[in-house]
Order: sequence, then C-alpha cells, then structure tokens
Amino acid sequence: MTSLKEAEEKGQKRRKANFMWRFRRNKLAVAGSGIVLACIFIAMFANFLAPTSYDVGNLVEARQPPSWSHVFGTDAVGRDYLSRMLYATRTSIIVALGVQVITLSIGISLGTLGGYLGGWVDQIVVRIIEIATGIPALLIAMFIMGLLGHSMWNVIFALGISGWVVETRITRGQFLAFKEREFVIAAQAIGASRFRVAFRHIFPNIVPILAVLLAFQVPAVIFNEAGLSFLGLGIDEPVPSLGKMISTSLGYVRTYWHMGLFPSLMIAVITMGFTFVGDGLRDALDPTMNR
Amino acid sequence: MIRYSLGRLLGLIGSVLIISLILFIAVRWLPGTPWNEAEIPLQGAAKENMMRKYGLDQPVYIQYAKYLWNLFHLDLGNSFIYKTDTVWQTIARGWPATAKIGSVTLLIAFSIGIPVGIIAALRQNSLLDYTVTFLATTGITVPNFAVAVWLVMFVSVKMDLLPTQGWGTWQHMVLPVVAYSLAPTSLIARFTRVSMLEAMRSDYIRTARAKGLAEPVVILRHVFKNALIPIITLVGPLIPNLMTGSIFIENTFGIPGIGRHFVTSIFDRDYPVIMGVFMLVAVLFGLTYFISDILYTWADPRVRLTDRQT
Repeated sequence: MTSLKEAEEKGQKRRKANFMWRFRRNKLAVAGSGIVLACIFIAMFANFLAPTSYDVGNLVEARQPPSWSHVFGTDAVGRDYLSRMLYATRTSIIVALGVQVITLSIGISLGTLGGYLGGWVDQIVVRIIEIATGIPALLIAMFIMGLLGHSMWNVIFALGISGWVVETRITRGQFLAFKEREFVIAAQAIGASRFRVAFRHIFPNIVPILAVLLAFQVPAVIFNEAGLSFLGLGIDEPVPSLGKMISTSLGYVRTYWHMGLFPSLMIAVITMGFTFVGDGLRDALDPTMNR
Repeated sequence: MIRYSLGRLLGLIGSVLIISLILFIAVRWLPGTPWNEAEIPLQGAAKENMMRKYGLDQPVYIQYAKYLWNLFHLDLGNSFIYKTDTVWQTIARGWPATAKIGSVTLLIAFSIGIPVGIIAALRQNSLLDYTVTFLATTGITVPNFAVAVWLVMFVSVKMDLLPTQGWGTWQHMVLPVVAYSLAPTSLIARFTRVSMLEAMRSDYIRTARAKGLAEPVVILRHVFKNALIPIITLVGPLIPNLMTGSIFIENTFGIPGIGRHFVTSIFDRDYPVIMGVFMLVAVLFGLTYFISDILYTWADPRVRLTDRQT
C-alpha cells in the first residue's frame, strides 16, 4: 500500500519528468534556453568578458571595421564595439527583468483583487484595465520618459508602469476560472482565510501560466527598451543600449556596415531566444495547444 | 444588443474623458515650458505675457475645463510650435503618409498571412509547417527597426535598388512596408494556423466529412469560417496600431507621417499637439475594441455580450 502522500509525490515527479521530456524534445526551445543562459551569463559577467570598459574611447581608432584587435570594430568615438555590445546586453537584461518585477507585482495584485474578490472591486479593476488599454503602452512609456528624463532606472519605471495590463488580465482571468473549482470551495469550507485560499490554493496553479507569460514579455520589453533608446528617449550616453547603437548606425549606413549589423543581429538573437523558450514552455505545459 | 452597445459607448466616452484628464495633468507636469528657454531665456514680464497668451497663467482646472469645452466642439486648439496650424492641420499633414503605409501593410498582412496560415495548418507537422512556424515566430520577435536596418543595408546600400530614405515615389514605400508588415503578417499567419487547427479538431468537422462533403467545402465553409472568429479579436487592435504608424519605421526611413509627432511634440512641450495625438489614439483604440466586440457576436452567435469581461 502506498500512502496518499507517496502517491501524490510520485504523480508530481511524473508530471515533472513529462514536462521536461516534452520541453527537451522541442529543439528550438532547447536552443532558446542556450541563448537565454548565454545572455544572463553575459549580463552577469560583462565586466570580465568585455575587452575594455564601455566608455573607453580612442579617437585615433574611430570607426574601424572589424579586425583582430577589435573583433566587432569600433564606433564613432573609437570605443570597442564588442565591449559596448556586451554591456548593452547587460542593459537589456537588467531592464527586462526589472520591468517584470514591476509589471508582475502590479498585475498579480490587481488581478487577484479583481478576479478573486469580484463584485465592486472587480468593476474598478476592469475599469482601470479599460483605461490603461486606451493608449498603447509604448506611448505611455515615451510620455513618462519625457517627464522623468533619461536613465536606465527611469526606463525600467516607465516600461513597468505602462506595461502591466496583460499580467493583470491573465491573473484576473485565471482567478475567475479557479474560483469555482472544487478544491477552492473545499478549502473555503474548512475555513481557510481568503488570503490563504488566494495565495496557497489558487495562486500556485497560476504560476506556470505566468512563467510562460514572463518568457514572452521579456523579449517584448527588450524590444521596447531598444525602441525608446532608438528614438532618443531611453538611456543616455555613455551607458550602451542596443537600440541606441542601431539608431546611431543609421547615419553611417553607407560607410560603416558593422555599426548597424552587429547590434541588430544581437537584439534579434536575444528576443528570439526568449520567445522560443516561451513557446517551448507553453507547449510542454499544455500539449494539446498548437500541435 | 442596442442597449449593450449604448452602454459600451458611454463607457468608452467615460474612459476617454478620464484619459484626457490624466493626460492633461501629466502634460502640465512635464518639466520645462513650450518655449526654448535654455537658449532664449524669457524675462519676467515677457514670460507672463507668453503664459497669458496661451492661457497657461490660469489654474490647471480652468485650463482643463476650457480644453474640454473646445474638445466638445471638436476643437483641439492650435499648435504652440507650428503657430499658424491648428492641431487638426498638424495631424492632417502627417496622416496621409502614415495611412498609406498602414493600409498597404494591413493589406499585405492579410493577403499573405491568412493563406500561409491555412496552408501550414492543412499540412500540419510537415517541413513546410515547421518552416512557416519558425519564420512566423522570427517575424513576430525581431524588432521592425532591426529588420529595417538590414533592408537598408542590403537592398539600398549593397544592391542599390531602392532609396534609403525619403518619401514621394512608390520606391520609397517598398522598404518601409516590407519592414513594417513582417510582424503583423507573421502574427496573422500564426494565429490563423492555430485557430484552423483548433477548428479542424472539432466534432462538426467530423460530421461535415462524415456526410460526404467535398474537402474544399469542408475547409473553406466549415473550418475557415469558424477559424475566422478568433482572428477578429486579434485584428481589432492591429488596425489602429497600423493606422497610427510605427514611430520606428517612420523615423528610420524619414517618412513625414504622424508617428514623429508623438516624439517631437513631447520634446517640444507642444501641449495641444501632445493632447491631440494621444487623444486620437485613445479614441481610435476604444472604437476598434468596441467594433471588434460587436463583430464577434455577429460572427459567433454563441457569444453574448451581456457579461462584461475584459
């Protein structure tokens, strides 16, 4: 006889193994994980990996094409392009994760309030969502950047404050769906507090979906950060950002091809890596979707 | 239905009013004034006169009340920077270019995205399907300004086929449209594929096949028609997005569209233009969400729009 607890643990293990198996079978997802891990590695150790610091320039060496001494060439003031790109990757990752902290905190709190409490609280939450949907997040972020001035922390704040609608919507929807399930009613019946029901019983069921969402939101944020910097509303010099490097390169597109090609490829690789991981996670969690 | 629509319209007006209030206060919060005071500092009396001329000397709530009153008469005020222009004229000058790029992009996105999605779904798990899925995922994720840079590099500079920047002839439109349409095309293709697959698995398709309908009829009349429903919800927000233009694309290719006003009006502290373009976007988005919800009930009679769920 196996006890209930043992059986449950076995089941959990099997589900986990199944999930891992399905994820690993997806080659794109595995490749994506490699990219994501590499990005995080670069972000953490940019100062060790980069040949020079991001703000060291040598005007004599300005605008050099790739060579052995500067693998990716140099920029308009002679800064090593490879180093700039490694630090820019760090910027992207920090911004992406920082923004997620803000959007998830707002999204989970608002979504839980609306979805679980219902009633007039939900009405208000729905209204707030409706108003926030009225203007695209990027425009709100642009506006906030105009208000606050340009720095990395302001970019994180602006994108976080403007980008929580999807998180709220999904959390709320999930709470609405789970609220009526038997195990929730059972928990309420034995007198668990509302807080306990919401966070110990319902919330763990939402985590996988939020994880998938996170994997998709990270590339979106990286896109938006690059976009803000591309428009000159993002991070100020000398801190590098891929978007800024791309927009600067447009002025040299006829003469210095390396200045545009490398950062644009880099941002493509990063965003694709995260998206493939998101796709893989989603398919592995819910095999009936898509395929 | 009519009662629901009216309620939603009222709600929409309410939302737009709240957005206008938040925007109006936020615009007044922007540091600096509409005048280039860094280079031409204004002295006391001169500045007072300027403030009075533009009505900025009054308390914010009076300014807002006046703004609302004018808005009610569809008057968005005059631009502070282009002094002879009303905000409408500023918008009207940029709109044609933006709308042109946007509508061609929309056309391409549909006419390529939907067939490609259908074909991929019909050959599920084939090499073709994998290729389409991979390309579509790539198309959605890679930022359009990165694609734009590659296009300029290879097509304009290397092969010297098309101009790098500018506006006027059809040649100027090719690269922006290609760069801009990649993401929506991929999105529509992917979404069509998924909803086709979903529809193909349902019971009524088995029934349709069982009663001996020809395969093309099953696919077009039964699968596609049902697959169309979720596509509507996706396409809704796409339209105002495309019609207000990609700031990145317009910036990269030097297109004199409306997109740049979003950036320049903030830089210039051109209060009426900021309000004008942002309110326009808010109204456009609100209307499309509203219309796509109505379309949704029309396409799928099972959906009832009584319980409002966001």
